[in-house]
Amino acid sequence: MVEPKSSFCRICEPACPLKVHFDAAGRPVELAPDFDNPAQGVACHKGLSYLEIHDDPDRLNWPMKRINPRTEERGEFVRIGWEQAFEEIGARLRAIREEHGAKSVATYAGNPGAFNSTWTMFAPYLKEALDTQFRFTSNTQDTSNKMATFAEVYGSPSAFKIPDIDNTEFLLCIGTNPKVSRWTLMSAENNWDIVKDISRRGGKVRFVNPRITESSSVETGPTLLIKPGTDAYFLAAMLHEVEALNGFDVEIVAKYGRNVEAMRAFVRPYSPEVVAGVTGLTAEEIRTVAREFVDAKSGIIYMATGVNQSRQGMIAAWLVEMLQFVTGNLGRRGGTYKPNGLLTVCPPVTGIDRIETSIGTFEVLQPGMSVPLPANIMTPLIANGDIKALFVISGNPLLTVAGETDARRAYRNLDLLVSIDIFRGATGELADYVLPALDFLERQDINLVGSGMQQRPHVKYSEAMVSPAYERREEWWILSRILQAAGLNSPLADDPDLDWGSEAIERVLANKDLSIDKLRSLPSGTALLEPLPYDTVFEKCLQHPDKKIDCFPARFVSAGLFDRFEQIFAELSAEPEHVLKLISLRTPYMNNSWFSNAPKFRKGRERDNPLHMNRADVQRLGLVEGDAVTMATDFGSLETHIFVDDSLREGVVAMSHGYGQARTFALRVAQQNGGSNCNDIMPNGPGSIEPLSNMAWLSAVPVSVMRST
Amino acid sequence: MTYVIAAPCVADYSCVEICPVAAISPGPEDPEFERVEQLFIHPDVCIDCGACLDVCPVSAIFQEGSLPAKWQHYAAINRQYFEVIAL
Ligand code: SF4
Ligand code: SF4
Repeated sequence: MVEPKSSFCRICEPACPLKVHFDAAGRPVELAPDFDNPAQGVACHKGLSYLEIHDDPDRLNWPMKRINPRTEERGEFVRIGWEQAFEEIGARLRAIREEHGAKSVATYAGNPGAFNSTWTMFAPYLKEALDTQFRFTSNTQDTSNKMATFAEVYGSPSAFKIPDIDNTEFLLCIGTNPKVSRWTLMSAENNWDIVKDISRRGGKVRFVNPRITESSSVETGPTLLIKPGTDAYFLAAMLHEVEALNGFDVEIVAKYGRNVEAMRAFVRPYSPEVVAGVTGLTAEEIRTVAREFVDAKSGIIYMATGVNQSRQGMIAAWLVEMLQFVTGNLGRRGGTYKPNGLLTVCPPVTGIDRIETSIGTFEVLQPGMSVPLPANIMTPLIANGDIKALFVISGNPLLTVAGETDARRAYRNLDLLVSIDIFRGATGELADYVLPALDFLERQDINLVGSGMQQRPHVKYSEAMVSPAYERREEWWILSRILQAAGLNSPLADDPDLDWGSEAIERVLANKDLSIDKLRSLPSGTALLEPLPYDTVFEKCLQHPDKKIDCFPARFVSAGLFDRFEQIFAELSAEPEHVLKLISLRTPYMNNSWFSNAPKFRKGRERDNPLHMNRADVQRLGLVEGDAVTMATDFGSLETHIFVDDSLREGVVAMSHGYGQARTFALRVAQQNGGSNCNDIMPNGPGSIEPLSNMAWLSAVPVSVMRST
Repeated sequence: MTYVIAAPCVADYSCVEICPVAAISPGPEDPEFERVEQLFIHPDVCIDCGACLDVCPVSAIFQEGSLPAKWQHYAAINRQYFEVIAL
């Protein structure tokens, strides 16, 4: 009998505790919630079904090499040994660097890497060793507007704060569906009761969203059905109203605020009446929420992905920070605060890198990797030859970055494309080499990404639950060997047997006098950290030299964000009736493009991704449920079919991504299930990017829908 | 907190297949499957993940606190099924 072991899920932020059960041969056979973990949280169906991924017969097992040209969609792959892979990739990398310079090499890291502590810690090493400015991540698809805003407002892109859900009287969730997404940039215990409890104890929960999501219910609170992409105007009116209601905490604002007057002056024209038409909310609705927020002893405005992706994530994030700050809800019990963590330092901005490319100059903040170059410029840079080699680490940019059709064409130009992943996905299918990485059951880890963002601060360690099968290896090891083979700095150069991963984990644990051994000796491998006082946020997060909060950052002005805000307002005010807007739909059955090949989640209604549309729009367009339709933007069109969904506001259509994988030949379930890749028709190229944040525009995009001919 | 299966249930077992903790009974293999008119969620086993909600073809599943007024009593019906089975 093999004893069950404690581990934790590494799919999303809560890092839920798991109990892994084994068969007599030591193979994991069941994942169950670990109810005994002191940090709490109950795993959901995705984490508990992870064996679908671990045991997927389509997993990558060996290094593979493509032997036919990339012009052919279906790759012909042969198995090779690691030594051959390193030798060949190293030689090609060396040659490309010699011929085109170090700056012609690019990396793209996908979201799964964030939940892999050794990769996260290796990424800066890789950056140094490759000495390239072309580093891309999925951040500019979902969240870089927040880091960019923190950099300007607080002086550090890592000034993350989390909402004190457990103690608040008021929670306003904007453009987010936390019941399904399990919060972002916050690691809360997975337990929806923490939100229901707000209402139970007499507090208020409100949602602002173009869709009544799974999060909004009689037990939590109602939804104000806002028009997509107008949240920034709603927030401006909130701030306008908070001032009108004398909701400013004068003392706090005077103590920590800078450029307060300019901020006040900016929102003054945006009264609830002024924004009512554009947002589709009534002035009274906006006033009521503002009054509730001001009247509550403590309050939280939590804004996430839907707004981040809607073209004005910077302004919206800035307004959220302002609302928290001026009402005294920053650093207050029941407001937002900076929790303890393994790492609680927020490194200040030290400079701005200007990166010259064939399509213009782009700016990236130093230090840190949180606001990288926009992934939306990868395709033109590859097409123009700025980028000759691309390393993709647990990512699928072909499918998840806007403009798949153009990317497919551009990627043919690459001299070298390497994909390091647990699957050969859509991007891997085009790669010269696909190298097999480890899943979370196969590697040791700590919950590093949630550090400093946890509602119940703790550090967890999990050993590998099973030795990696076949020839799968960890990312840091694969990349170190590639660096070495290319003659670049590598941790393995001096000692090929170095366990760099364990050393990196030990180094970061030492911050809190912890070690792998110590964590192993604790129940569920978990150490709870002392809570910090709420007002620690002022000491930790205020990183401008004057230790103030910049309420009207100069770079917002110089980047044209405020002018853009006014232009878009004019544009939206003049918009004709019945312009459909596409928003991105978060379902419980997909996570990024993960799970696209898990048979359990690709059944019945979840087999593909129909276009969700309100009944009134369906009727107006003379359609019925199931009708085949063509959906078009200025950037392309796709074929889909109608699913009637009255949870959507009229004029809003919704689609989830991760589908449309007919050319992902190595993922047999995903490949056969159909659906369409909505990212293919999203705005792409340099004009599609929000200034400063580099965020892509992936939600609230105007579309036309008509019956397919 | 738990989810509850209410009146519209047609004993399609998509929910049984997706539930990660086997909280839904009876499954197609169970002897009771032929006899019951609906499926039930064990309130002490359910982990509130919501995976069953959208796979139900007839929208018969609700969060307990969000049961429509006419089906409030289904919370007890679901619980009782397991009390009887346990006998
Ligand atoms: S909530 Fe996220 S971390 Fe927790 S089990 Fe589900 S997928 Fe894993
Ligand atoms: S909510 Fe989750 S655990 Fe509960 S019955 Fe449905 S699928 Fe099972």
